[in-house]
Amino acid sequence: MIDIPLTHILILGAILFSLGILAVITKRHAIVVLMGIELIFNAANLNLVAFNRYQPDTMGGQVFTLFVMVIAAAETAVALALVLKVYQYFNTVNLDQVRQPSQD
Amino acid sequence: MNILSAISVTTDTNNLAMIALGLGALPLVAFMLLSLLGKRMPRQGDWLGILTIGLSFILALYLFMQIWGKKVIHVSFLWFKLGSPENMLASFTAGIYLDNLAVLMLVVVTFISLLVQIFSVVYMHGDKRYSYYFGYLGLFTFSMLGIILADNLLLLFIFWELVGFSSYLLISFWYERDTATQAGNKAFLFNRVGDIGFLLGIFTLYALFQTFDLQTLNSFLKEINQVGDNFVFRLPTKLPLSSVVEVPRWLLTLGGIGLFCGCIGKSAQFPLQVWLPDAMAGPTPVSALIHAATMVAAGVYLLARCFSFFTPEVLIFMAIVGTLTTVLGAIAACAQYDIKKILAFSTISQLGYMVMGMGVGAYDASLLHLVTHAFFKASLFLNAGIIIHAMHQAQTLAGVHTDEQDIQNMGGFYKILPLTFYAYLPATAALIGLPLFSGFLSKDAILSGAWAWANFQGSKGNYFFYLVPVVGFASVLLTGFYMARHCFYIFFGQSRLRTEISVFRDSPQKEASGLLLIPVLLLAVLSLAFFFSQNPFHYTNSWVIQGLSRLQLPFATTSITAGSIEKVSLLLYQSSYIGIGTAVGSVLLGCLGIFLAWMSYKSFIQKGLIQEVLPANTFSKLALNHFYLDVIYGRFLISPFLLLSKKVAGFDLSFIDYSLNIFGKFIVILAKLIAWFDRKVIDGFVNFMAWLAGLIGKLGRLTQNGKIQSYYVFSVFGLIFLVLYIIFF
Repeated sequence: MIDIPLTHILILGAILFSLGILAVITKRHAIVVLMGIELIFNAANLNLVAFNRYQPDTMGGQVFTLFVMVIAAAETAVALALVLKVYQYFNTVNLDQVRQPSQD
Repeated sequence: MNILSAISVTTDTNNLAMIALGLGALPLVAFMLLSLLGKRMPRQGDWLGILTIGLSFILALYLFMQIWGKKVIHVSFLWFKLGSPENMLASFTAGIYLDNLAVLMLVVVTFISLLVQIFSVVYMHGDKRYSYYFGYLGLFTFSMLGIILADNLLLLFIFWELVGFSSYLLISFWYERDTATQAGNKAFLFNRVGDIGFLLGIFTLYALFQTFDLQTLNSFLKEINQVGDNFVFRLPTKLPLSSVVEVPRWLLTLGGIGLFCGCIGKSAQFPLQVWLPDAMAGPTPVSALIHAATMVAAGVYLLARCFSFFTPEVLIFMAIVGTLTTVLGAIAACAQYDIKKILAFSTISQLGYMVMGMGVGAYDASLLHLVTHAFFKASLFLNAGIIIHAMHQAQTLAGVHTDEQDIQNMGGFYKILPLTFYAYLPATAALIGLPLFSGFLSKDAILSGAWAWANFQGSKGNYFFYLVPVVGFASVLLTGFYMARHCFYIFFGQSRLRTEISVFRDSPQKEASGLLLIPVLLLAVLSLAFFFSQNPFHYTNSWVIQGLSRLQLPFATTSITAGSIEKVSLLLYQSSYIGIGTAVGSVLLGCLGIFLAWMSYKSFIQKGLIQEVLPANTFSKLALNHFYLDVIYGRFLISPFLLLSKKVAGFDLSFIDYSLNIFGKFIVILAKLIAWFDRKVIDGFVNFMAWLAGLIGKLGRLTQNGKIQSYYVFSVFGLIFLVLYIIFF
C-alpha cells in the first residue's frame, strides 16, 4: 500500500469541505444544497479515517465513519421528505422563493 | 340664631323679630323664584309677586298693631369678628330694630308696593320680560325693607346700595330704549356720588365711636357735654375703651354732612337731583314705587334714623339745601309739559320740603309728610299711568304718533276717564295742601316748623333765617300753580288728540281695567286728612306726629344741638298762632296758584293748538331746562373728565403701551434665538440618536432576511472567525 501522507488527505478533506460549503451557499436548488451537505459529511468522514492513522490497532475512525454515514442517510431521508413537503406547499424547491407568504 | 342684645330678649320679642325677618325675606324669595322659573309659571308668575308682597303687607300690619306706640324691639346677633380671639380688633352685629317709625314705614312700603304690583298686572301686560319685571319689583321691595329693618349703619348701607342697584334695573327695564339705559346709568352714578359721602360719614362715626349700631350711637349722644369746641361723650363702661371720648365739633359736623350726602343722592336733593326727572324713562308703576314711596323716601328715613348725630351746623345746611331743592323743583315743574316730568319735579320739590323739615328740626312733621306724600304721589303717578295707557291706545287706534306724555296733546279726560279724575282730584288737592286733605296737615306742619325755627334763630338777631319759611311759602304758590295746570291741561276742555271718547276707553261701559282703578282709588281715599288725624285741620292731633314725636323718644334730649330742636318742637306744638297763620297763608297761596294756573290754561286754550311752545323768556327757559344743571354737569364735570380720560388714554397708548411693546419685541427676539438653539442643537442631538438607532436597526435587519443560505454564510464566517481567534489569541 502506497503510503499517502496525512497532509494530502487533510487537504483533500478541506477541498471537499470547501466545495460542499460552496454548493450549500451558492446553489438555489434544495436538493443540490443537500448534496453539498453530503460533501461536507464526506470531508469530515475523510478526516476521521485519516486521523485513525494515529491509533492503528483500533478501527475507531472507520467505525465512527460508518455510523456517520448511517445517520447521514437517515438525515438525508428526513431532509428529502421536508423538501417534498416544501415542494407541495410552495410549488418550488428554489430556496430564494421559499418564504412564508405573509413575509411578502 | 344666637341673639346677643342690649335689652333682654323675650320669646315675644324674638317672635316679632322673626316675623319682621320673614316679612323682609318674602319679596326676595319672589325675586329668586321669578327670575329663575318665572317664564315657566302660569301667568308668568305675577301672582307669586303679588302673593308674597301681600303676605308681607299683612305681616307688616300685624307688626304695626303689636309695636306702634307700645314698645321698641331691638334684636341683634354677632355677625362677624375681626382679629383672633385673644386680640379682638372689632366685632360687628347685624339685627333688626323696630320702633314706631320702622313699622309705619313697613306698612307704607309694603302697601304701595302691593298696589303697584296689582296695577302692573294690566299695565305691563304683554311685555316680553313680564316675569323679570315682577322679580325686579320683589328685589327692590326687599332692599327697601332691609333699609327700614336694619339696626346698624353698615347693614343699612348694604341695603342702600341694593336699592340703588335694583332701581337701576327698574329704571332701565326697557333697555331697548336708549333714554332708559342712559337714565338708569345716570340715576346709578348720581347716587354713587352721594353714597361716597354717606360712606365717609359712616366711617367718621365708626372712627369716633367704634360701632355701627344706631341704638348704641344714640345712647352715646345722650351723654354728651360740650367743652369749648369739643364734644365729650361718656361711653358705657362695657366697651374696651376709655370711658370718655373727646370729639372735635368740626369732625362730627363733617360726619353729619357725609351722612346727609347719602340723602342728597338718594332723595334727589340739590345739587344731585337731576337723575330723578330722567328716571321717568322707566315704566310708570315703577316711577310710582321708586319716586313716591320708597327709594327717595329712603334718604329722609336715613335722616330720621341719624337725626341725633347732626350738629346745628349740619341742620342749617340741611335746611338750606332742602329749601333750594323745594323752590328749584317747583319752578322747573311749572315749565314742563311732560305729564310724568311734572310729577317728577314735584317729587323733588316735596322731598325738599321733607329735608327742610328735618333741617329746621320739625322731625315728626317731615316724617308725616313722607307718609302722606307716599300715598298721594303714588296715586298721581298711577293716574298718570292710566292716562298714558289710554293715550297710547288712542294713538294706536287713530294711527297718530305724537308725544303720548305731552299734556298739550291731552284734555277732556274728565269725560273720558271720570273715575280716574275723581281719584286724581284728592291726590292733587293733597299735594297742593288744601284743607281736609293729607298734604295740608303735613305741609303745614313743616312750614310751621320752619317758621318757628326762623323765629328761634332770628331771635338772635339774624333775619336771614326767615328766608327758609318764606321760600317754603312761595313754593306752596308754585305747587298750586303747576298741579292745577297739570290737572286743567289733562282733564278739562276737549281732547286735543281725538274727539271720540271710545278710542281711549277699554269699552263703552268700562273706562279701564279694575286692576288699574282699584289701587288708584284706594290711594285717593288715603289722601284724605281724616286717615292721618282726628282733627283734619290741625296737625298736632295727627297720630303719626304723636307717635313719631322726638319728645317721646328715649334719646330725645340730646345736647348736641344745645336744645334748639326741643325749643322748635315746643313752639310747634304750643304756639297755635303759628299753626293758624301758616294754615291760612298756605291755603291762600295755594288758591292763588290754582287761579294763576286757570289763567294760564285759558290763554293756552285761546291760542289754540300749538305743539311747540318755545319758552318766551330767559327765566322760563331756565325752568324748562331745569336750570341747565345737566348742561353744567356736562360741561364742567363730565367733559373735563372725558378729556382727562382721553389724555390718560393717550399717555397709556404712547408711553406705557409703547415701552411694553418694545419689551415684548425684545422678548420675541430672545425667544426666536432660543427656539433656533432648541431646534438645531437639542433637537438635532435627539434626532441624531434616533437616526443612529434606526441605522443599527436597519443593519441588524439585513441579517434577518429569511434566506436560509445567508444564515449559513454567517454561521460559516462565524466559525471561521472563531477558529482564527482560537488560533491567533
